[in-house]
Amino acid sequence: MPSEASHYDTIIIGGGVIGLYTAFHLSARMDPRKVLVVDRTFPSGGASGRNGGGVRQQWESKATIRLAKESVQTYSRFGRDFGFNPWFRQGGYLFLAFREEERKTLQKMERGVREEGLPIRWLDPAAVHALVEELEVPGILGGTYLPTDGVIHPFPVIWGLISELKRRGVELRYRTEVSGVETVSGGVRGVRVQGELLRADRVVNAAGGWSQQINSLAGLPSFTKPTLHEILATEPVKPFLKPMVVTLGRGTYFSQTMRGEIVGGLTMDHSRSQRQGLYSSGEFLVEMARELARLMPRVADVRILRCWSGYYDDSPDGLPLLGEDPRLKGFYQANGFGGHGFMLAPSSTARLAKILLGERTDLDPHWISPDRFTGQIPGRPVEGLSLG
Amino acid sequence: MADRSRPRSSKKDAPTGQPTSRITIYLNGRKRSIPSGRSLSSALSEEHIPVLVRSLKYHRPRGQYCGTGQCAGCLVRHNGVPMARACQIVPEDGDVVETESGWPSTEHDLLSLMDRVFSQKMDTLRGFTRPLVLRRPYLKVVRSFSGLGAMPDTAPKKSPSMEQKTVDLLIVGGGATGRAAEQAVIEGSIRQRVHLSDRRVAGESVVYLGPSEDKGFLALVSRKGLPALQVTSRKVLVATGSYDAGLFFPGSDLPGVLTGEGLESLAGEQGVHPFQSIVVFGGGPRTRRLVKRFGSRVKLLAAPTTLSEDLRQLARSLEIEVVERSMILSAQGRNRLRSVLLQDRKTGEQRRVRAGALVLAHRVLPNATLLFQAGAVMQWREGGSAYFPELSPRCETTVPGLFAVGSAAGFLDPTSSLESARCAAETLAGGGQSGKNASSQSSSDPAGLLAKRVPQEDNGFMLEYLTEFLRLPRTRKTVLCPCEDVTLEEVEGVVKEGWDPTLEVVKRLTGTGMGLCQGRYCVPDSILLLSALTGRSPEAIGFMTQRPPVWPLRIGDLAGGR
Ligand SMILES: Cc1cc2nc3c(=O)[nH]c(=O)nc-3n(C[C@H](O)[C@H](O)[C@H](O)COP(=O)(O)OP(=O)(O)OC[C@H]3O[C@@H](n4cnc5c(N)ncnc54)[C@H](O)[C@@H]3O)c2cc1C
Repeated sequence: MPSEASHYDTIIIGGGVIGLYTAFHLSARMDPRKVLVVDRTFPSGGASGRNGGGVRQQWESKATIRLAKESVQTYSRFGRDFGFNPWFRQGGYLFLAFREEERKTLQKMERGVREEGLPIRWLDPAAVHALVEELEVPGILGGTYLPTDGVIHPFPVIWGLISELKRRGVELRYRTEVSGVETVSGGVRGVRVQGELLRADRVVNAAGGWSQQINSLAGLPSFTKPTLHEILATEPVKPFLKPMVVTLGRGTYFSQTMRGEIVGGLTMDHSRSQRQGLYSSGEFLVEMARELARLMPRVADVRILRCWSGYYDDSPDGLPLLGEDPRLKGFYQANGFGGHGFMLAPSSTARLAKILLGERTDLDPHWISPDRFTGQIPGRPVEGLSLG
Repeated sequence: MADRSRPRSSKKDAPTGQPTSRITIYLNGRKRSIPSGRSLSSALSEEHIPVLVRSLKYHRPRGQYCGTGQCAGCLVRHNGVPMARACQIVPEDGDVVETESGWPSTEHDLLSLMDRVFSQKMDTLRGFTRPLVLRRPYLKVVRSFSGLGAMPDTAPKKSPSMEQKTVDLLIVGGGATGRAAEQAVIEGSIRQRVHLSDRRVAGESVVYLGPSEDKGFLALVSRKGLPALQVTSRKVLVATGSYDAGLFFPGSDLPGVLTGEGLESLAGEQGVHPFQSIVVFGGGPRTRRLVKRFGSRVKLLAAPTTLSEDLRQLARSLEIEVVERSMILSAQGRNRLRSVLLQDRKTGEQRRVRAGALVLAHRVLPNATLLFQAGAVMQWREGGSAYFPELSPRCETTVPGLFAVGSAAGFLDPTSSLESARCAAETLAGGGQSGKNASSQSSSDPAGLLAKRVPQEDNGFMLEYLTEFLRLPRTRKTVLCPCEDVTLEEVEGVVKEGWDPTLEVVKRLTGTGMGLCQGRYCVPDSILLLSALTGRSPEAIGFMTQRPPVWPLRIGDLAGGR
């Protein structure tokens, strides 16, 4: 490619849902040919093709509630807008409380969510049972239910975005690894792929669980860190489970896909494991089977079909990093989404695109800006419901 | 609804004269007398293979196919437990069996209209998106069709806790190779604790294999009627053998089209099966074994390439007609196979053969899932048209302590298979000191052993075969992935549209390989298909992550005790 052509306005590292949606918003406002998305692996090979597809608006911090609320609206029109059907089924999210503190946490969250105009309800144990008859577990104190939350099928979202970006003329390079971030006197100059320097005025780190690696290519320490999360799917059973069910504590979650599989996971500590890369552990299969059978004893006769894993990119306060990194001019962070990047993608990247275009956003920078970790500005809320 | 308690015919209820050899079960509420001691699918197939399942999207009829409990062809509700594999159940007197798909019944399903309405494909990837006001109704209707079986009505009795066991060596697979290895290890060193898991012998299948937290390996073993077993082992020897591959063509998913193993499992030890005339497709040693066993009912032997001289002679002695260089164009029939359309690959001449069964024995593939799971480096081998482990001369994989022998490792003929078992066993008996003292007794030449991999049952012809098949005009839908009802046309479309034609991407775009069999029956052909469609090498098409468990694993078997 001639050197002229390889000067981009913005290079986005990472072609997951965050990188693609960023390119989507950005290319609507500028010459699409000046935007490049680079990804090391195949489309949906990162967390965006490995997640549970949960989309919920039940959060503690206002920022997250608003972003999620907007995403729900976007996703419910996604099929029409992109021509790929993500089968976004709004069966609600049911958060269960088993202990007094859990009930307090949930009821506090419930108030905040209601203040944002969402139809959240507190269900007593009888109402919980009426909603999910199969939850035959003693000790439920009740739970919050928000019927407009739901579950989305992640792959079609990725395919829809890719198709639309191609149509617009945005360049997408999958199976292309970024091996260097080039800087000059405190500013970013471009990225290096396969020995070639691609110049850009702006570089976005949307590498999810690998954002730490991209930061180190730029010589920057990271505030987020990747953690391995496992998930499983059962054989497809006929529809019985309306909401996504979540318990606090271990963050066990499960829902039923449009194909009928029960898909769920829980948080395991893999920090002492010697294993490299993505893997599935026997320990997870056993733990998750126990959780499912404890919460829904009838499920004991259903079989696990497969399990897999992916990386969360965890941030210290449970909120993502969105915006220019104060340590390197032209270098933008779009990561730290933990286990919730899919549901926050459409709305949070719309804000990021504005920031990239030098505009103000409606979000308080104390909530999302990378500055909050460098001491440039104090960070404020901590998202306590960043679990599951 | 008709009175379901009334027996269908008085004859069925009458004493048979051999009261011990028959039992009574309730099939969809009706009493039915079936022979005892055979698998449920075998017992139900006295006259023909019944339609036990309707497929997910198009409601196409399905029946026994693989005979190994992997495919979605024989799922029934058995005593309230959904999605039980009829081929793996030996029913008992009074058992309640229900078919779960189709309306008003599985056998006569009006919803099979779907197959006509969506004569090309039902586009769940892009369809049902407009107008926006119909989004919720679409979701509701499509969802109501999802799922293969209904949740159990009640919780089962709590099973006992999972058992744990620690051994020095876990042998997976108790065929001739696995047992030979066991024998050799035990003879070579008396101090070793060895555990052998085999599906057919003890109903044990190792469904998960990975490193254990401290040292060695962790295996999860599912067992028939018992809670799972957790085995920790310093070393593992995988001798899981091979399986009969599937093949796609219009009608390849009809009841009556089945793999060699499918027929063997249907016939059971007694050798009883419902077919008067069988067409066998294949030409290698595997085909030979099947022809020998079922010879009297085999009407035609169709070989995709040429036959070995001994197989030709065998066919002649059994008065079986032989056609070489032939291609299966399609299979016909309504709810079961009636005829097969064959084409001469050289002359293009076509002929229709009436048959009750079409048995696929053209290709044998390694059962290598556990090796992938455990992280062994796997290599595509052209002759085998499949992935085989990279091995040391001692049959150790790239994962230290993990050995692979027999046909799972690519030693396809019995002699080299046993040789590989002995070779690995010598090292294992020597306590893993790379077989220092053991090698002095070694009768085999390790370096020569590796050269004996793969060639015997040569699958190399498959790419050419499929390339030829794709060039021919097709008028009917061809189901590539029966579990998920993915059609060949869908995969062709994905390639035409310019998507990355690798298996990982095609899987995520179409659902190929995401069903119950986890791609065992569609993925090997899909790799070649994508290679044929794009001109890329099969290696460049790649593979997909082999996700645990190998066999679907009952949640209660892991969760017991609490
Ligand atoms: C098991 C699991 C369950 C989850 N459940 C949910 C859920 O229910 N709801 C929800 O909203 N979220 C969920 N998530 C989280 C969600 O999937 C992620 O937050 C989201 O997908 C992040 O998108 P991303 O684009 O930032 O990351 P990714 O999709 O991981 O994309 C990052 C990309 O960067 C690429 N990359 C990395 N290094 C380089 C390099 N050097 N050069 C070029 N490219 C590179 C990678 O190949 C990758 O494709 C879950 C995650 C997991 C793992």
